[in-house]
Amino acid sequence: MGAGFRSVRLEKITKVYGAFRALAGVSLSFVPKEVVAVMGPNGAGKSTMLGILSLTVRPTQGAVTFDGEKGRSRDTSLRGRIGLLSHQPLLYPELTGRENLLLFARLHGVEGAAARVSALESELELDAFAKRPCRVLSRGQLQRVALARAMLATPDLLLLDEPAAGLDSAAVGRISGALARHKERGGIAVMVTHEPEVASEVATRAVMIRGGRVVADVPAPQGPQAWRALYRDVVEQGGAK
Amino acid sequence: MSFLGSVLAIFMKDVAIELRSFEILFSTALFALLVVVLSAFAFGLGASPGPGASAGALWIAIAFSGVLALGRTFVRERELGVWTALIMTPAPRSAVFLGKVLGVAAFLTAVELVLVPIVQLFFHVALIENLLSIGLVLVLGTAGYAAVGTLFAAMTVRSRLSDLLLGVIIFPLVSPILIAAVMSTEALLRGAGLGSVRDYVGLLVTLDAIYIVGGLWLFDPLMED
Repeated sequence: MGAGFRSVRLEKITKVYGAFRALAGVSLSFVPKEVVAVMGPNGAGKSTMLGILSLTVRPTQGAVTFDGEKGRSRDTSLRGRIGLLSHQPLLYPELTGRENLLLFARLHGVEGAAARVSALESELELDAFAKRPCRVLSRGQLQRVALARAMLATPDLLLLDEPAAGLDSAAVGRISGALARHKERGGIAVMVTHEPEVASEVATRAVMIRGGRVVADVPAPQGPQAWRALYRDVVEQGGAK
Repeated sequence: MSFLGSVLAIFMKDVAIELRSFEILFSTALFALLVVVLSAFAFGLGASPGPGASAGALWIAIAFSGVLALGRTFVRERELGVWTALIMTPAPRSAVFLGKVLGVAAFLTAVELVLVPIVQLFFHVALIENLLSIGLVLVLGTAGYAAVGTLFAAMTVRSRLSDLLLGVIIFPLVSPILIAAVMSTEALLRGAGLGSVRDYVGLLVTLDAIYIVGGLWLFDPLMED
């Protein structure tokens, strides 16, 4: 990671798919050492927001800016500073976890690719299954390899779409640890999640989305119960904060 | 990583995956052989239908099996959403394009190595005897085909109808390549020298240059959502 982003901003983002408006004028700003948990019901626009932040989805209106500059997916240096853990693993099933990581490390231009891959294998405890083809890995193992892929280039902006879905508590703990270290390095993380326990463990800020609009943007509540209460008040009962 | 390093990484990845399953090579070669054998029966097995029919059968087999190879190559990119990760890397997208073109061309070349003796066997033409000149036409035709096919396969990779779209889109675009390739192969099989087909070879070189340079230039903007 280099100097890191001083700010990442979504400015009046609207995204329309046919007749469906996934996001409607969303404006948010993210700063270093922030882990933002984004919550909302299915179809609220959370994944679309991550797609726009990762520059893989182009907004219908509005812009995403990085340190004040409009983000464009054709900007190769910018692409290298963003890591995405999608709801899909984004790995070649026929290749082993290690082969996938080495390939992406090379494409990211990571210096000492093999050493970086080994370091991530140790950090995320992948050693036991890194030499197996990804198609035979369990959901939790795949998710850990996918997280390693997202973190290969030590990104300044880490985007995670439901990182803890279907994982056991130990795997969730590893992801939380990796997120905490990313934050300590001065990175920005935006995490879509449905799980208050995960959000309460690592998030510093809560953003609630409903119907493509931000209905709450507040400092992280303390404890899973407070997250559930916030979600209930704002998302399910139609309040706003 | 350098441009060429990225090209090589993408190409080697495709080769490594294929060498584990032989899925593309096996299915594509089988399909191509079926086309040739059925053509041989259609033209009368045992008869010598002539250079025109032989050249046609050879290139129809390459064209149809090529769509199969392109489709399978990009299905691998669609599985587990890995295409998104690929175009998110800072590697030049034109390098991704070129790496994929090399992979598709390599798979098609491997199929052609099987196809050529089979066409010779069933159509009683001197393909192997003219391998140097016909090989040049095969290389040029395959390169252009792979460039157009890769560009449009990548454009449709995220579509659920990608297989259908690919066949509909690429055949009109590769027609000039296929026509030039068939005409020059037919002439070479008739015993004409390479000099007599220089116009067709020149056309193939020009089309290859247009499709490869066009692909390198267009690939990046086309990969934006």
